[in-house]
Amino acid sequence: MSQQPVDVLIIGAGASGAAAAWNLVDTRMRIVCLEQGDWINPLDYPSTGQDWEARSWGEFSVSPNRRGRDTDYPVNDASSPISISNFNGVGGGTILYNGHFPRFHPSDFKVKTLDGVADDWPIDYQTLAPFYAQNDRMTGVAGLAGDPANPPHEDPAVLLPPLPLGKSATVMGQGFNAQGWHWWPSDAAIATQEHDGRAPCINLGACLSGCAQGAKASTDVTYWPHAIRQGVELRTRCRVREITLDEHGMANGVIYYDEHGVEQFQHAAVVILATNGVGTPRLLLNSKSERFPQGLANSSGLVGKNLMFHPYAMIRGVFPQALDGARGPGTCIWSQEFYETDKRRGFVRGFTYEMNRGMGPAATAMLGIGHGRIPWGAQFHQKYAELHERITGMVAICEDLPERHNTVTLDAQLVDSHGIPAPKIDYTLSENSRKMLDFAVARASEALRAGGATDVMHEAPLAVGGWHLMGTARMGTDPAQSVVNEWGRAHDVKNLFIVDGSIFVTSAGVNPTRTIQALSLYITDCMKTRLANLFD
Amino acid sequence: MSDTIVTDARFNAAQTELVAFVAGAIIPQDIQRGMPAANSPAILHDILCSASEVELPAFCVHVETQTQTLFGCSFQHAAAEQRSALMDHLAGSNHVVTRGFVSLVVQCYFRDVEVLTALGLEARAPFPKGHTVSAGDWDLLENVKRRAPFYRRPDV
Repeated sequence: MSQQPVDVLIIGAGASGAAAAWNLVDTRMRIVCLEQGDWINPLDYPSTGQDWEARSWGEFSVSPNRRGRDTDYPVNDASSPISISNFNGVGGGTILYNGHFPRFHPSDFKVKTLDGVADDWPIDYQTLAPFYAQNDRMTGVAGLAGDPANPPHEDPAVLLPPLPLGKSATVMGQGFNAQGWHWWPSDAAIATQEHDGRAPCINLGACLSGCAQGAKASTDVTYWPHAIRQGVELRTRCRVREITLDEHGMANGVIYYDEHGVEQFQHAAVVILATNGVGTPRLLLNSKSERFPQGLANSSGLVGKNLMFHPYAMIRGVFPQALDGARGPGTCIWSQEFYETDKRRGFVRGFTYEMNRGMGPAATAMLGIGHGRIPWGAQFHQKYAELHERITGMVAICEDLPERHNTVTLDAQLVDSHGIPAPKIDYTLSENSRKMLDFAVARASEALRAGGATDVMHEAPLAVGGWHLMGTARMGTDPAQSVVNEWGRAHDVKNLFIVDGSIFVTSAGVNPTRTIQALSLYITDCMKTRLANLFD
Repeated sequence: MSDTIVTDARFNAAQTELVAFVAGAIIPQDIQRGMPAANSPAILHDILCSASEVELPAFCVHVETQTQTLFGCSFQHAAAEQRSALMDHLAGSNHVVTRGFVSLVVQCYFRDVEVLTALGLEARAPFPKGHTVSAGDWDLLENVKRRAPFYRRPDV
């Protein structure tokens, strides 16, 4: 069955797809977005139930394989020490993210020039700065101006009040002060006062399984209401199988399965991919044709190559006094003391510490059992009591450098519920990342103990930490060395654009969502200024 | 009296007995703290209702296999001291199906009203009431505020 043609077809309603849709509405083009997942009713989030911890590990798990919704696709990540995390639905990964919202640093766009590794981006910080600012206004960012680790904010007045330090960030601030190290209230995509019709944060403490209050800026409550009000059509439970081409090698639409499982064809003049660093290469590799036998837009051979995560180290300290427990958003403060390269450390590039406040009783018990602090049997309750509401700590978000052998390919056997080949991940942790993780664990342990921790536990790399999916359709000016050009258009297909994390050249050492959205706004802005000759 | 009839049961009697024993071995009762065991009726019922019909039988098979390997008998016929040694073995093995079972027990245990109350927590959903978090000590930031910018500028 064929649908009415549209001007712009966006695939994916997550962080980048939502921003792209909203930014294109003033062109008055007909815009349709196809999303394989559902709208999520905030009252269905785990924090509306007493059993919120258990539900956050099941139907709202970050792992699509664990979650297993019919709107998910499976991922074979058995050949990776880090498993894939995502969410498929309106809002995408922002439904389950923590709202930790740093920007890239100016140095992140010049990695080759400054440190002699990887590649420089074809754009710089100044290019993205106005789009960071635009995204901040739409998102509602809590934070405090004046952080010496970052460039000044263009418009500090737009920042909402920072999140509370609470007892947890206070002891960590003490520890970092004792070491003489930087820390600062985190920029957070969490409304600390009413913003754009959204209610302020009430410290539910369950950000990672969806915000029932609507204070956390998932794009179902930020961009989408505006985009839909202005005419964008968003179709849910529509899973795209492949992008099709016309006889001139231009994308002419997609074949997808609708909510009833019926195959449909949607004709489009422009196709925008916004399906993350795993979903995008999967779809391109599934879109083989005579012209592109190795997958669409893949003349460089780089589709699916250079997969980057952020290898995470998790470091938790046990304190003698009661802290915040599960109360309050995990996001509170960050440290970028070790962000920029210092080769004396034995590795290049660096990382951000994202402090994560505390955890609920079930997570506390699992952490204690997993690290040998809580035994089975008679000592269980005594040892649990020593951890209950006494744990806080951080994760280190380590910059991952692009390596061609880290890949997303198509699995030979595994398919989704529509029979579409599923992605397969092959990933090896680099020596540079291993050294960075070890360094991050050692320094965090020192800071936690300086703040009063009597015990420290860690895991590195964090096995479930594949939240950030980047690099698999990289941006660049050379068609032989990149998949899209410096404004997101595929080198091979001049009406195909990519706006998600797959176009990252390098990963930086920060959560990527703020940069993904700024890139999406930048690319769609470039499209608007080139409408008359978009395909030249 | 239970309102569950035999044909409704998702797991057989042997599996149920095994689950009850292991759950109670992981988290026994602590009368002084007012903490029930994980095989108290309400929590055991939750465990059995919440368990996967694939994963829980797999755990039971794993326990039976370990019992046969260690003692040459079935779990049902293992003596008390053998069962105790088996629990030590399981606790130290870190086998994937055991980790899954422990996670199930912990999830069900720490959502039980009696448990949460004994821990001094309100047995309620976080939403819509929310929680209070103290502002914390913002004076700690004064030293950091005085620090000069230290991010790298590629153009300098």
